[in-house]
Amino acid sequence: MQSITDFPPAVAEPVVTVPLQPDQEQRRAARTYIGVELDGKHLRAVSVADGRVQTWETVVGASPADAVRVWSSRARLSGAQVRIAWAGGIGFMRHQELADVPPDQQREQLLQVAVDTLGEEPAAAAGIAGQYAPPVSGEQGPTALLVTLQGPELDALWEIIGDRDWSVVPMVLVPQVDGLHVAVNIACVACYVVEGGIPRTYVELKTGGLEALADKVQMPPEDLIALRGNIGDLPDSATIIGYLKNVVTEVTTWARSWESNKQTGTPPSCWVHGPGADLGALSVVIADALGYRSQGTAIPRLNIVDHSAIPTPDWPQAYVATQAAQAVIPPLAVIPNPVVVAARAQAAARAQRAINMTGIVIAIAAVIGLLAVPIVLAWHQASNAANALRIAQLERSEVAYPLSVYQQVQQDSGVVSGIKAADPDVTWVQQMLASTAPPGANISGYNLQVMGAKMQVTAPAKISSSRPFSEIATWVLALDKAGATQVQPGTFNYSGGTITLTLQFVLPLQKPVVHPAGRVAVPAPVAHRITTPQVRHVPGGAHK
Amino acid sequence: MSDPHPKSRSVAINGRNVALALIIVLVVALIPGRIALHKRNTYLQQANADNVQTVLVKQQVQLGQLVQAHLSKYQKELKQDEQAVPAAYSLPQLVQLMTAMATAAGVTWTSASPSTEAAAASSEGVPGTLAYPMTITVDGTAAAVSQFVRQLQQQAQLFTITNLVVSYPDGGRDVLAASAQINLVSYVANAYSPVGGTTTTTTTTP
Repeated sequence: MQSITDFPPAVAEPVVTVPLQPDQEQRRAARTYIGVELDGKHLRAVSVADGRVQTWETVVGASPADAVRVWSSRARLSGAQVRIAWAGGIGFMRHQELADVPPDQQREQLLQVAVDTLGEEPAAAAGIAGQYAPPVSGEQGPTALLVTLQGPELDALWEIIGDRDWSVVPMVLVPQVDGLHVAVNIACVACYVVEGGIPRTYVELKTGGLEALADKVQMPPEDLIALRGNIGDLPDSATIIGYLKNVVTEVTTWARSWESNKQTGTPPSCWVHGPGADLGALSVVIADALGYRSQGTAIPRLNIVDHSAIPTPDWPQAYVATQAAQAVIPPLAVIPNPVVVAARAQAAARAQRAINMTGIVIAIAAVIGLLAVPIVLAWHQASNAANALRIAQLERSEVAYPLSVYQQVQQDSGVVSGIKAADPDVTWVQQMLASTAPPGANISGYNLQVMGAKMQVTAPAKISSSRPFSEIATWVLALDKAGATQVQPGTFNYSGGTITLTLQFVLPLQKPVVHPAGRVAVPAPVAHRITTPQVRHVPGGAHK
Repeated sequence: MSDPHPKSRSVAINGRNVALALIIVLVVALIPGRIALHKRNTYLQQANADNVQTVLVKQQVQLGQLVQAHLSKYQKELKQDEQAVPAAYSLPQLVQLMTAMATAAGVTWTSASPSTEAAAASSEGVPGTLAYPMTITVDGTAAAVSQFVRQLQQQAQLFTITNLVVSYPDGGRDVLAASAQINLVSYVANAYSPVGGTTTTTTTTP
């Protein structure tokens, strides 16, 4: 193994041309893309717009979420797409066959795998790589890569992100150049192999990140990073060198083990990046240890993006953030912001409640309308009718006196007619007796008795005649012809040429009126035709 | 980032819930629906009744306007009716009237038995009146007696004869002496139910 003290100070960076996909070109020209690598409390951000890196910055916060908060409070993020690559913290990484899963159900299937593996839903985020070629021969495609992130710090991060359309993915899922990657970060040191843009294996070294070394040498991580190759004169150089040796040893051991077990070829390159990549020429040492020295250690840059804003010494630190900004992760790769999911769920619930309430309100309104409209119309009719009646009654009140006079006259005429109808026609009786009596008859008087609607007349008389019976018969017939009924001569005596008799007959109270047509009309008792008067009147009394 | 939210399911749930709510509301509405229907019918019945009443009232208004145009005629007729059937029974006026008629007819009023109480309506009454029976006896010539009876039946105040006994003692006619006993009824208006029971007082004039 090569000593770290033998590391050459600098090498020229080669430019590797990696063609972008058409959608990458389009997206790159349309928006500002910001890649953030969140390395514990340290945040490294790169913004790319108009084909060039616009800004490169590092931020340190009290926690990962606080670092994001501090950075987002001062960064210009309007309209930018932000992708956060989370260094370390991977719960597990698994290749998952999806051969029998329909495309529209693959996402749920992968989430279910994560839930089954973790025993719960991924706490804050799970990076899920989409379909890609099977990593090893013999597997049945399609296959997906499932990488989960776990930890309470992610929960806090999502709270900071809120409803912004940002994504959080495991660092290993940010598409990177093929080869064996050693990320010497502050939070951890991770090794992973990328083939065809897809990470195949991943491990975090037990040695720990620069934060662990900083604790040992009592130096802030930022100062350690600034040392780069100048560690020989430090009092704690032995501690630093020991740390770096442990890293190299662990990386070498893991790489040899992985190479012996894997079924694909040896990675063509080895890339060491992260803030500790240049500490003690670590990248060169690792390359030497793994036999990649001849291929160079500088991480390539995309030549279609102008990285001139990132100084060369900073490139190993900015590499992952830059990749996060300019690379495209397959659509299936990222679990959405749980805060946004919850907010959308709440919004959907609110929308559902609103729709339900709207439906209910509409239904109630419709029912009320169906019930109320006929009532209102009927009430309107009743109201109009009542108004018309009131108006008519007012008009009637204006003619109340003439009406009362008329009704009184009607009533009184009925009473008068009734009285007149009950009065016998005495003159008719007298005329009938006089006109029907035979010559020689001497009527000594008459008795008129009213009996209901008729009157009975009794007339004592004497007739001097030689043919008494003929005279009586003639008189009776004459009375009968004149309209009398029940004509009876009664008991009579004939003595000395004179008949003494008492004639009886019955007549109507009034003489019948003979119409021109010859019909006889008997006046009906008018009193019985009187209808119930609306205004009770007393003839001779005061007008009401 | 892709959107993983199954919106179609949410929409389906919304539609189902709305439909369920509609059904519940409609079912619940059956009860007030019946009440509303009853209320509506009540209003319509009231409207119909008022409309019918309005037609009647308008007819009365038209009648009243016609009467108004001939009011003097009806008032005159009403006055005649009031004379025919007085509002109150007055024995002095009745005696005075009979005396005047007897004088005019040339008969002698020999006796009278007027009643100061109304007779029962069932016997001699006319609806709307109180009947006061009375019996009078007059003497005179046959023509005078007939004239008296005729005057009695032609008076402005109405009387009805219930029984009339005319006798010609000498068996003669016009110029001979005659007497008549007349049972008659005078009437006064009765605004209330006929009064039952009568008390007859016989009065004989010299």
